[in-house]
Amino acid sequence: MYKKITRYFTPLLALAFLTACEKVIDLNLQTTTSQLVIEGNLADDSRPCQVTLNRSANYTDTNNFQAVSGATITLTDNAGGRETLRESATAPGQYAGATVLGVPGRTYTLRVETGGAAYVATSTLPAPVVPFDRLSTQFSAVGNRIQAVVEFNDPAGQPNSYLYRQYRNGRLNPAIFAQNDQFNDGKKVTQVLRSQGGNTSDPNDLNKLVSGDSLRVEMQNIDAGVYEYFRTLNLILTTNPAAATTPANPKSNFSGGVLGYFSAHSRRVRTIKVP
Amino acid sequence: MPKPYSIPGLWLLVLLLLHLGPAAAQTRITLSGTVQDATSGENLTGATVRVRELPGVGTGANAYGFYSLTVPAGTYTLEASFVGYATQARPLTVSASQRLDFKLKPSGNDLGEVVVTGRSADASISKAQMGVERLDIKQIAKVPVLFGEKDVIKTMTLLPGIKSAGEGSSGFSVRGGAVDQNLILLDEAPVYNASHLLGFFSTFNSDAIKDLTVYKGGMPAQYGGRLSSVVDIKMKDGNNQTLHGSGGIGLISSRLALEGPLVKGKGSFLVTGRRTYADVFLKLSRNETTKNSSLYFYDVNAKANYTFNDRNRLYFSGYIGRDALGLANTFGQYYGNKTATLRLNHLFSDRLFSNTSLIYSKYDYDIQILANAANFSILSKIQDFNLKQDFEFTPSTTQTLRFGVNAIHRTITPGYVSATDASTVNATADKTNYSLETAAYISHEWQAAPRLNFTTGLRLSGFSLLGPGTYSTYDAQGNVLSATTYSRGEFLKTYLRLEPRFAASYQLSEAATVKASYARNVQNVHLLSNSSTSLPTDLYVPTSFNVQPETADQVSAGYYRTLGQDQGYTLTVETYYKALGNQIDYRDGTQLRGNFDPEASLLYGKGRAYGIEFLARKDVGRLSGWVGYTLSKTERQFTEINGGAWFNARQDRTHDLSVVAIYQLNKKWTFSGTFLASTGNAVTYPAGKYQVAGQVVNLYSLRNADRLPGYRRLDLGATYEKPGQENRRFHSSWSFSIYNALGRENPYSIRFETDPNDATRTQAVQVALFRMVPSATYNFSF
Repeated sequence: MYKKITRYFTPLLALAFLTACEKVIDLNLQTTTSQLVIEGNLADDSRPCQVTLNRSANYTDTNNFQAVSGATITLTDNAGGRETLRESATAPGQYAGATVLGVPGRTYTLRVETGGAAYVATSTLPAPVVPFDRLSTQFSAVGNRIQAVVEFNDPAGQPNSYLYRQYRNGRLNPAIFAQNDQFNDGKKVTQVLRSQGGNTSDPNDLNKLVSGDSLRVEMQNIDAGVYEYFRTLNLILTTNPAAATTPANPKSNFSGGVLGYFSAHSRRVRTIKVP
Repeated sequence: MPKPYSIPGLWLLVLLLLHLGPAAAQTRITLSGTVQDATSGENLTGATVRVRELPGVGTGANAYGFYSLTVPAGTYTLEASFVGYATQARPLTVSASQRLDFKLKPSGNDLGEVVVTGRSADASISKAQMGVERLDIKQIAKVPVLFGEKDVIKTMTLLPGIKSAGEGSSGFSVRGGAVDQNLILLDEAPVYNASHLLGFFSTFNSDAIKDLTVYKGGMPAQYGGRLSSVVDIKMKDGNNQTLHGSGGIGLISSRLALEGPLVKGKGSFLVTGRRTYADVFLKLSRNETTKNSSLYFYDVNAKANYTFNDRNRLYFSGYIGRDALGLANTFGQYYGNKTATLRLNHLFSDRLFSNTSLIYSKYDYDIQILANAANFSILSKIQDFNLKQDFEFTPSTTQTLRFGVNAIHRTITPGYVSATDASTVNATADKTNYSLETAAYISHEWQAAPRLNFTTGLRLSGFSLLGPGTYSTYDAQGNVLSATTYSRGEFLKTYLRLEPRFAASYQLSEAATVKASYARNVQNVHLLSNSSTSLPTDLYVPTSFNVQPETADQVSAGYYRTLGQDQGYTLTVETYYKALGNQIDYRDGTQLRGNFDPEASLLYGKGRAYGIEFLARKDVGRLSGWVGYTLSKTERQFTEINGGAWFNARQDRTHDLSVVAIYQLNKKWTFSGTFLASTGNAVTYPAGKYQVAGQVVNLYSLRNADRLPGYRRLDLGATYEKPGQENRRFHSSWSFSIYNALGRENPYSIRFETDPNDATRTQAVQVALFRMVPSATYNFSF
């Protein structure tokens, strides 16, 4: 909700930025030792757990992130399930499970052992899964842009957190939409997925929706720890220059001081053709 | 529970002084009165009154233009002087106490006599007070500013030791302090959010302002409540002789002011108004949404005073300012300050001056969300009721005693959601908190020897958190351990702090002085903002069970020298060290907006700031202005940040240079320029990057270990006055200015993003706000 407010500052900022100008500059940035990044996902879509391990790079390097091979990764749940994930033969650093599947209500523990250290994260696949009722589009109040609108009924009396990912013609929009029911517990929720940008003439801009596009939105029910990760991740991804806060690394749900997250979540997908 | 404070002791002291007064008067004679502008009746605060025949016997008129001087019987010449006014001398033979009011005439506007400061020429030499600067509105009027909007706060940040929080911001940092550690007073009423339009303009309409005095250190004991500075802004009293009006039409706003006598010579009023009109242009839009949007702010200042007799004078001042920013059927945001001050000056005797103030101050915001049938609003306010009693007693020529008490009842309502069942969100609890801030002080100004001055003060400040309310305790991670609900009328927690203040000066020669001071300050209201921009939703929290009173101990030393004929140049060098206790910061990733339990996110640590400031001023002549340079360091230390190591505060800027020059070419044209150069703010840049959730994400390492690129800006201004207006009632002038005349792209922020031309790389993009902003304003007066 409060994110909305920031967005409404935009017209005012636009005024302030009328004379604003941007340029690419060279900065003498600090470097830091390469750090491990763990990304683990387990959805209730009958597919096994997927884990990616790689390492951070210096800011001025190209975006080649070194994969981490040879890790020992185990997944357990609170219903007695247990398996060791196997590394892909073709894609190093990609690990997948086989037998332990995502079931609403179960709690999963992912343990990653590499480089002589172990990192553990726990995530609960929320239950019951909140149905994704409707996907539609609307025009934005400012700028007449097409925006995706998600509708569902938030169950009253329990804390719920949600994450949406948006695809335009099959391509993932990098924007992350995370939301919880702190302010609208038990309400019918009509959530507009407002993305940054989209004013370019680039027809492939993922933020720009045009009539005839295939729009796919994935709605996830996530637990509070995963929500906290994505909320703090968004703080550094969507920096508003007028409200520049001191940036910090997102709050991981892994123990042991590592980057990344492990999320057990539901996955409900709707696809429409933009009218 | 017993009341934690009692003040009868102070009243006993008053009675004692009243009793002492007549006894002492038998051998000595008191001359007292007011010093005012002869044409407008404005009080001339800081005007010097001295006895020509008795070197070293002199005093300055107080904030209400009142002076009191004690001399032995004899024949003297009593002289009143103030920069910008013709000195008045009155020969007199005194055998009994008497009242002598001075009405000084402004000196002519002839070339070579142009005076741009209201500062008393030798005040900084002969007083122990240090770390203080005064700006007169006449001076500020000539300094070029953004969009041509004269701004006392923006101009003040050109003084050494005072740093603007950032381009287009009304926030400022004094000697390494945070933006909320400044007490901004408008006729004694604190102004909680001194900015309009996210800080591009300050709330002070220069038409209503007489002068601004800023204390950077060694605050006199009558001031308290904030750690770093006191910015004392005084509104004009209004002309008590004839009716006058003035106004201006500018790029952003228009202004109108009216002042005149209520009863000629006895009372006057002043009303000023200012409104921006960007929204007028929105109405021209063909887009319905744009057309029905609002975007404006306004200010109304009003003041009236009435002199009942020689002993009693009453003042009323009021201010209302409001910002409106709304988008039709989508969103509306309204916020602003309201202040009111009622003051009574009373003379108990010719040596005991009293001022009683009743002060009200409020800041509130109301955000309405209407889009997608959301229908809810967010409301917040901070409100003070303040009673202040100050006394000024002059027992002898060499001593002045100031003492008084102060009590503030404060109500803070953190933002809460007001909604109905039909709204898309639920209403949230109104967590209003109540507190009482009290203080008693005494300050003794003493000329121990002709060249040696001392000011010794002590302030006792108390703070009580009052019921009703619910307060929690937290563990080290910020999780709630327990919550207790208290009822109305309970004193939940009381803190008492002693604040010693001390200043000494020794005059080396007629033209040179050395000074030293120590001051302790305590602060009990804290602004939670992790941003450099002043947002209307910035949240204040009181001292509580968890939040301890913030403290600052500052020692400073300085050298002051006047140079040249008429002491036209002054040189000031001050150095300081400040230790800050119980400072507040936030856990990483804290969400401040919409946070209904902000105390859970707070971290407590300490700070230190030190530096040296150089200021060279030229106050008289065709060319006037100043050069200021500051070399400083300000750091913070929190166990939870950077592994407990000291780190640079955001406002730490090693070098800071400002040059202000005003040159009157002839009667028609005055030119001005300001130049600023400083080290960039301490900021946090990424130290690396990684890939997660389909995005390249920045990796951060140490807090504030990097710097924004340096800042440099030149502003130019010119004022044209139509010739031949001298004898006419109607005067007009044009002001022109260019903000950032060099067109330098000064860094406002740095964004790190994927290179749009090469997805395998990332890049740093510098955002600059203003390249070059010209403006023109038409001003008139009658």
